[in-house]
Amino acid sequence: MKAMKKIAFITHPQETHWVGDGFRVHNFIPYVPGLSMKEMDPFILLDYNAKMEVSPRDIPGGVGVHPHRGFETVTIAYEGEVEHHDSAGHGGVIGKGDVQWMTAASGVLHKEYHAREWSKKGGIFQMVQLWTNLPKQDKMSAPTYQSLPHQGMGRYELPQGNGWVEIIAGNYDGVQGPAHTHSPIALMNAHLQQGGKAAFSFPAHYNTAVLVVQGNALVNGQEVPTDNFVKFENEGEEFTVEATSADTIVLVMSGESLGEPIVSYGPFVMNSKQEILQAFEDFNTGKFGYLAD
Amino acid sequence: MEKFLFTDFLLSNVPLTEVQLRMLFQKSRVLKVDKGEMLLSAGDTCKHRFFIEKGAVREFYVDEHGKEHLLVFAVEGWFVVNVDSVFFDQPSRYFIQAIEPTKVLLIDEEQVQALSLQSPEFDRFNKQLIYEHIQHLQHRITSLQSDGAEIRYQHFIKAYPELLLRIPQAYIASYLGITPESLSRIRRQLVQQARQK
Repeated sequence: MKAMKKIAFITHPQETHWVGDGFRVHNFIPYVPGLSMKEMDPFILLDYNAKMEVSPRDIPGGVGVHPHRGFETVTIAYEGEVEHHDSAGHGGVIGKGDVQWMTAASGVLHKEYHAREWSKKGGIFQMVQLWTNLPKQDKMSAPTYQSLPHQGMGRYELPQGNGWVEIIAGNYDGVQGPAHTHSPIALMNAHLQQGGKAAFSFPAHYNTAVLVVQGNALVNGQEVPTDNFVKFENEGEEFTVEATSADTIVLVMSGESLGEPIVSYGPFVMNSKQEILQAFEDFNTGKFGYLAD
Repeated sequence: MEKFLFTDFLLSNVPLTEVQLRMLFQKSRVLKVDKGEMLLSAGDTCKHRFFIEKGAVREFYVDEHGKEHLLVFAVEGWFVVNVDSVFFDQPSRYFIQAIEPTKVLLIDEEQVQALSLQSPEFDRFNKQLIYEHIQHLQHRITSLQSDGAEIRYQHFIKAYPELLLRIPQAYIASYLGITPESLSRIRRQLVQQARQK
């Protein structure tokens, strides 16, 4: 029998800030104390757009052209639709349950908006953007892009119709998620009916956390309301998530720290200050390519 | 006492006692503003220097046709000082606006002058800052008169490598004295040159 993973702390969402004019987010990683890049590596940023009503707009809200280097952006759409384009020629629209996994690596310019057609009607919008760190050896590789529609996610049915675990990356009881990762990372959504319970197990040293995206849950028996975030200690392996309301969704993340130095400035996350200065120079002199606004 | 970037900046340049620091801070205050808020409008006067603790601001002039001309940027660790008001008691010709959520320290000019009388080191440092500012403006005028747009852009990214990430390109174009379209063209040319290499 494996040991239980203890909860380090539960935190409610902090004040929101706008990313561009389309995303109103609560930041958890890296700005909440205890959730710094070093403490949560390979998860180096988590911005959570809790449910919000978006009024119909002809010009979609969003964030214009900006660069990234040294990591991946993982966008999980819960409600509404997001459109993305980058200077490597990738792009697309994701809707409810879909995931965009963009490996910026050596650098891309990209922009992300509410999808044009969706924006005309507006509606409820909810999204998570997670940045996952890349190992030193992959930071300067060519950018790639994985579009992960919800139909292609790993699906583990919980007994007695209590819900299912949707696996984006990693493995849940033999069911593998579709995302290719550069280091050991598990990312899954537990979809639970009231009373439904799912057990998770990750190595003790992995940095592990959950975010209650919808409904209310008990994590290891402790109450965690909607939009709250739970960080686990780096001890023990197993924990449970149980829904105390109907249609509960809990995002579960666990990953092995890369154990490499992290030096970051805004959209660049590298291993040394020198590499950050190089990123400025490459961005300023056009080496990230071109993307029209 | 609350910890300020300004205090670190000052103490790394001038040896000041706790009492002298308190004197400087006596009438100073902290202001937090949202993106888009004005710290100073044309026609107003202010008797303090702004030191940016966090965020970014721009100082700009609006001409008779309503067109904006950007004089300077300032990000954390920099001063922005409206010379009209602070040194000449005249209404400002310029606006100072936050372009990010910004925290500024308003440093009272009377206290700066009082401390200058008391501490020769501080006085020298204060003058040095002003001389550096004059030199910066001279170089900027010369560059605007004699350098082509691409050279001005090259100088800008060399001097302020991180600003392009934070400052909207329309503002950078205005600072360089070119249209946003010209700046986009210069940047596209650089992309082509980078691809050919």
